[in-house]
This record gives sequence, C-alpha cells and structure tokens, in this order.
Amino acid sequence: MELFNRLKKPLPNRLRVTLLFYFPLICLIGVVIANDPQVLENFIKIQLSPAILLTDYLEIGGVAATLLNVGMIALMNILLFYHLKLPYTGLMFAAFFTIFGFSFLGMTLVNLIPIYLGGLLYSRYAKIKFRSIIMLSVFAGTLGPVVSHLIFGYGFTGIFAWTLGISMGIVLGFFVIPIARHLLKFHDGFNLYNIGFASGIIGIIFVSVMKSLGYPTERVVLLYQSHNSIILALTLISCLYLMTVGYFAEEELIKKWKLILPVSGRAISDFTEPAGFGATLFNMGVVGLMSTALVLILGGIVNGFTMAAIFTIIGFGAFGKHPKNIWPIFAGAILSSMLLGLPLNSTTTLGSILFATTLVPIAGVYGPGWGIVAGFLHVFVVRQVGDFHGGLNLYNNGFAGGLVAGVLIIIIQTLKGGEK
Amino acid sequence: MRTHVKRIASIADEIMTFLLLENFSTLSLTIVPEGKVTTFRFVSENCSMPQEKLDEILEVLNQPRQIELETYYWSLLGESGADMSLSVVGRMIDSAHGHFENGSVVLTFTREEIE
Repeated sequence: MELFNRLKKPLPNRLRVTLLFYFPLICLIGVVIANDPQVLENFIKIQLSPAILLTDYLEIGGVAATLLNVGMIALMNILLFYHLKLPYTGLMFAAFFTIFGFSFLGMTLVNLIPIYLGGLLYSRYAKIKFRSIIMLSVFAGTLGPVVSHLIFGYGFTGIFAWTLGISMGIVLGFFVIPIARHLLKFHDGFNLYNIGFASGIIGIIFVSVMKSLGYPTERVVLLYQSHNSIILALTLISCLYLMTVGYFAEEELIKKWKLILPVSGRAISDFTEPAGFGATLFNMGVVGLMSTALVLILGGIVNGFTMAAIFTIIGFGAFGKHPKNIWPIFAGAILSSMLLGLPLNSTTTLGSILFATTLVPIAGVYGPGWGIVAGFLHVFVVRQVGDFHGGLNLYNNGFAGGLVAGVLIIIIQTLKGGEK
Repeated sequence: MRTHVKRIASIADEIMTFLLLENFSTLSLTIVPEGKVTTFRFVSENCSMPQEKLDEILEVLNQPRQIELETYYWSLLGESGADMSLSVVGRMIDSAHGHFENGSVVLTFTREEIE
C-alpha cells in the first residue's frame, strides 16, 4: 500500500521510466512458465532468421524463446532510455511499445543494434545529441529485416554476409532519420507510423536494386496459429497493469482522461501534457483492451502479428490514439474487409484492421465519417503494397497509411474549400 | 546553424499564418538573435481576439520544450496554421508571453539553441 501511496504523488522522471521494467520482467516470468528446455537453441534460431514479413517468432522459436527475445530488446531499450536520461513523454511510450510488439515479429538484437549505431553516427554527423533522435532510431527498427535478410536470407555467407548486413543497417539507420523527417510533410502528420512510410519507400528502392542484381526478395507467411494462454495473459495483464498504475498515479483519473478524448491525435498529440501521466497510462490500457477484445470477438488468435498490432496501439495510446478516434477507423476497416469477403478472424485481416489506426488523426481532425473512409481505404491499399518493398519494412501499414493519408487529406481539404 | 535558422523561420511562418487567419490586418514581426537566444515579437494590429482565446494559445505555447519532438516534427510547421501546429511551436520555444496593447495583440517568445 505504501508503494501505491507513493504513486499517488508526482513521480520523478527517472522513477517513471523504471515502471517500464515490468515488461521485461513479465516476459521473464513467461519464459519460466513456458518451460522450454530448448529455449536457448530456439532463441538463436530467432536471431538467425531472415526476419522478413510475416515471420512470427512464436511460430519459428516457440513461446519461451520469443519472450526471451522480446524481454531482452525491451530491457536494452529501457537501459538506453535510462542512460540517456530521457524524460517520459508520449513519444517515448509510443516508441517503446512499438518495438516491444514488433519483437514478436521481425525485430531481433542482431538486426536492431546496427540501426541504432546508424542513428548514433547520424547524431555525431549532425552535431546533435543522440537523445534528440533516439526515438527515431527505435522506430527505425522497422528496417531490421534488411539487416537480417542480407545476413541470412539472400544466400551470402560468412564474414561477407555479416559485414554487408551490419553495414547496410548502419547506413539505413543513418539516413532514415532525415528521410522520415522530410516525408512527414507528404501527409502533414496524419499518418502516425511515419517511419513506416519512409521505410516503405526505402524498402522499394532496396528491393529494386537487389532484384536487378539477381537477388529477388521473396515474402513469407510464418504465423503462429494456436491459442496460447501465456501470450493472451501477458497482453491482458499488461493492459490492466497500465490502467492500475494510471489509477493510483492520478487523483482525478476520469476527469483527466476526458481531457484526452477531444484531442485530434494528429502529430504532435502527446497525451502526457494535457492529461498527465496517470490518465495517459490509463488510456494506453483502455485502447489495449479494446484492441484485444476486438481480436477475440472476431474470433482471431493473439499471435506475434496481432501482438505487434496491439502493443503498437498501446504505445500510441500515449501519442495520438484514444477510443473516440479509434472506433471510426476500426469500423471502416471492418466494413471494407467484409466487402472484400476477407475472413475477419484471419490474422492478416485483423492486422490490417488494428494497424489501420495509424490514420486516427483523420478521424480526430475531420470527424468520424472521414475516419471510416480512411479505415475503409486503408485495407484495400495495405493488401497490395507489401510486395513493393518485399516485406523488408515491418511497418507495412505505416507505408500504406502514409499513401492513404497523403491523398485523402488533399481530397478532404479540397472538398472543404481549403484552396479558397 | 542552417537548421537552426530554418527552425526559427518555420516558427515565424507558423505564427504569422495563425495570426493572419485570426485577424487579416497589419502584422509586424521582429526577430532578435542574441547569442544562443532568439526573441520573437509579433504584433497583430486591430485584433478582436478574445482574452480566452489568447489564454488558450499561451497555454499551448507554454508546454514544456521537448528536443526529442522538435528534431523530428519541426518540418510540419509553416503551412496549416492549425492549433496542432501551435503545439509543435510550443515544444520548440522556451517561453511565450502575450497581452493586449492599444487594440493589438502582442506575442513574445524566446528560444534558446540547444544541441
């Protein structure tokens, strides 16, 4: 109870970051419960996989090894945030939970570290502190499959493959930052997963070059197709944990949470500022539960792909997403999936519906009607564009979302007389 | 240095767009760089902006500076004049003050260059 009473008071920034230690801890507990005697062997199998979309680590390495990968990546990032003395912000939560989710689906220690090194080099080159761009480097982990595929997927071998993969990771980690910043203008901040948009374009160029050199990039579908109680429990308990900490950290929780609901979600919508720390955590838990409930109601499986989607939504529950701007996107995406005759319980359909929430700013700024249109269009686009970058960009929905947002906001603004 | 100057120009652009959309009238801007600190002073003449609106703007503009956000999102400035863009400005400046003076609205910002 003493801890809860302390939580009622404003927490110093550095102590707030320590609250994230729960996540590697629960992964460790999951590893112990899963009790896989071959956990280390499977963990190495994950690290050595080409990591291309859709490689669900639950499928290739099992529950324990996947949770070990997720927990280690989470711990590495928390220590990095702590070392850089980062203040807690909505963007930090968004970055942390995105990478937490995608550690089930394509991110490994092997493919992330070169990208971070590229970001570090960029900060030295641009004469800015690494802490100013670390969030972008974290998001840039979306290009992890480029590193892994060069080392393990294209047929290169030995030291040459490792040198090539690591070098390319550093180069991409360096350039993705200015490229992403520039491409932000294309959709004017209406696509929350902007690094995914930038990385999609980078991926197209990379895949084209490789194909021209005689190295085509083949996409894979390796999805875990069983219900697993450990994974489902991890998701639900994580949402409840966030809501509970939020409850004890905020005196007037619901009143503060209501300050979040009118916010459009367009960048920059950092909920920690209007509503405070507690209400932001509470909102993250709420949108996480909403997303998990949607998966279960539609009869889907909580696997690596849906975990990536759910935890990304949880993260952006601090930086743009709330129930009021999410529901129109869900509605539009479900509608188009039904129109296309897609099975709503399939993992890929559910992923498209959940990740379509990258477009919540459209619902937030222009109303639920346009939000439904955005979600509706997103499903059509995301089903086609993955092949363009060969699955080397993990945030394929961020790429599709950027295309949809960039065109749709011009249509909306034209119809609303924006040119007058 | 070049990026620093472009960021200052973007802040000025965003605030000018916002004030002109609020009140299409004489608008003057003074930018004074002194060492690492830059001061902005906007004067929008004959402005009928209510006090509540000014208070709302100042609340948004006085959000804590966030270098992590500034590095990435400053490129969004300068086109929309929307409230959300003011939030980006708020993350890029250290202080914002505003008052009414002879029927004009006067906004004064300071921004220190930080690595």
